[in-house]
Amino acid sequence: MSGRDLLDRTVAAIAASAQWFLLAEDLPDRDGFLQAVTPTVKLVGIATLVALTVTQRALAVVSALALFATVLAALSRVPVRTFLGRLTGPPAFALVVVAPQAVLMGGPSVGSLPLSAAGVDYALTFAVRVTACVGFLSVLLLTTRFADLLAAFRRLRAPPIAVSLLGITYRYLLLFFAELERMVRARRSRTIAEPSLRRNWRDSGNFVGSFLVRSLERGERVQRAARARGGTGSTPTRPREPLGRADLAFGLVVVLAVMVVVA
Amino acid sequence: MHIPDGYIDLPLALLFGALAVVVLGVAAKRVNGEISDARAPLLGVVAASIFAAQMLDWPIPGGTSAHFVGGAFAAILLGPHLGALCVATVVTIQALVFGDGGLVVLGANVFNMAVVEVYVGYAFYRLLVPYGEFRAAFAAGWLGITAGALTAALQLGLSSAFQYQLLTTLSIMGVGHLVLGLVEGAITASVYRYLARARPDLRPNAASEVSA
Repeated sequence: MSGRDLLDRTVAAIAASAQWFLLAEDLPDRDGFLQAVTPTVKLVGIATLVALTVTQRALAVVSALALFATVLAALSRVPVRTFLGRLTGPPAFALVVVAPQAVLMGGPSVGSLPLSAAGVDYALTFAVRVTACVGFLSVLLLTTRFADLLAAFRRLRAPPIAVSLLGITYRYLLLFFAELERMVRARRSRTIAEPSLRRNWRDSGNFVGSFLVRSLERGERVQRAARARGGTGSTPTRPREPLGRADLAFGLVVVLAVMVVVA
Repeated sequence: MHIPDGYIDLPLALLFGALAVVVLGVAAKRVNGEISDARAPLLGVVAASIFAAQMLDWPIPGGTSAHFVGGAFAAILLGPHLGALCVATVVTIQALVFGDGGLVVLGANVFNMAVVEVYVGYAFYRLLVPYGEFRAAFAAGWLGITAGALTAALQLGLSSAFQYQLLTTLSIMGVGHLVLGLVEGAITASVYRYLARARPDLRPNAASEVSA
């Protein structure tokens, strides 16, 4: 792979992340089921569903939970392509990781194939369980603004400084994506001859070092500005919103799911 | 090394999450005063830049590429406690914005990458710095990431949800990261070399050299 290809790949990765970043700010504005649920209720509910899912070992149960995550996504008007895009990577990797168990596990085999029935069941259950968990996490992230998620953490009494740090980091991400992309494009335009591996590494070290120094200096300026304002890095949060019908409905659905699965 | 939900047992995820909270709580206390409201922007901005720097592709012989992780580097640049808080912020953003990792397992991922990788990396840096700064930075990046991977392997191997034996997970992830970690070590040393030349005042031992 040439140095120019690598730089192109970096630009593509930055663009993909920035696109995801912007998408995550757009979908929460849609008129859907989970969008109407208060972030605190949604966070607690989804965390409960994920915790419930990770404890399950039966294929039928984890499949039902994966279907439930899909229904939540559909009710929340999450585009199918976006949802499936999130849903395919981690489960596919999980299947590759546990696939050898289909051969390694003992017990009766599947027909005339050299595969153990227990092993196949385990591998499928594992991959579907990961799918369900990723599905629940995706509906949470795709239907909730990050600022609302932070406000939910504050209401759940997370340390204010931790919430502040997350808020500031998030605020600067897009800026640093843009800065890094500019620097990569500039470096690409200066790359005329294909550099040797040694030269490429030295340039990359200088590049990342220079980027980090610039960032650090920017951070120092932001810090001085905050101090000059007598400042606080904390983000003001909206006052507590009263619970509505959507909260009640979602809460009920979560409780029902727990009762059905546990019973 | 981001473990998604569904790989490790719930009690283990909660246990390592609690351990991460305790260690980061102690780290926040140890830097008390430094991490005031006015200091938080610097830390947040550095966390954002480390996140962005992870996107750069580094060439590897054989036609593939690797990414900078930066746990040990954050520890060298900011000190272990601020470094741990910084990397914890990066890992949390990766989970809660981009869905890398999971929700219930977030604490365990923070423990592996922001606690073990950062503190072990920094310990090796301090231990080896008398023998050369760049060698120490290399060892910090290499062994820090290997230690983080071994902790992840421990969590996976002890989980009934993940059917591989503990010895299997430890050997596969340990050996794999001992090799892959060489790249992280080389990147850490390479970035450190630039930083030491461009801004020598940012090196951890710069203050003592000035006062001397």
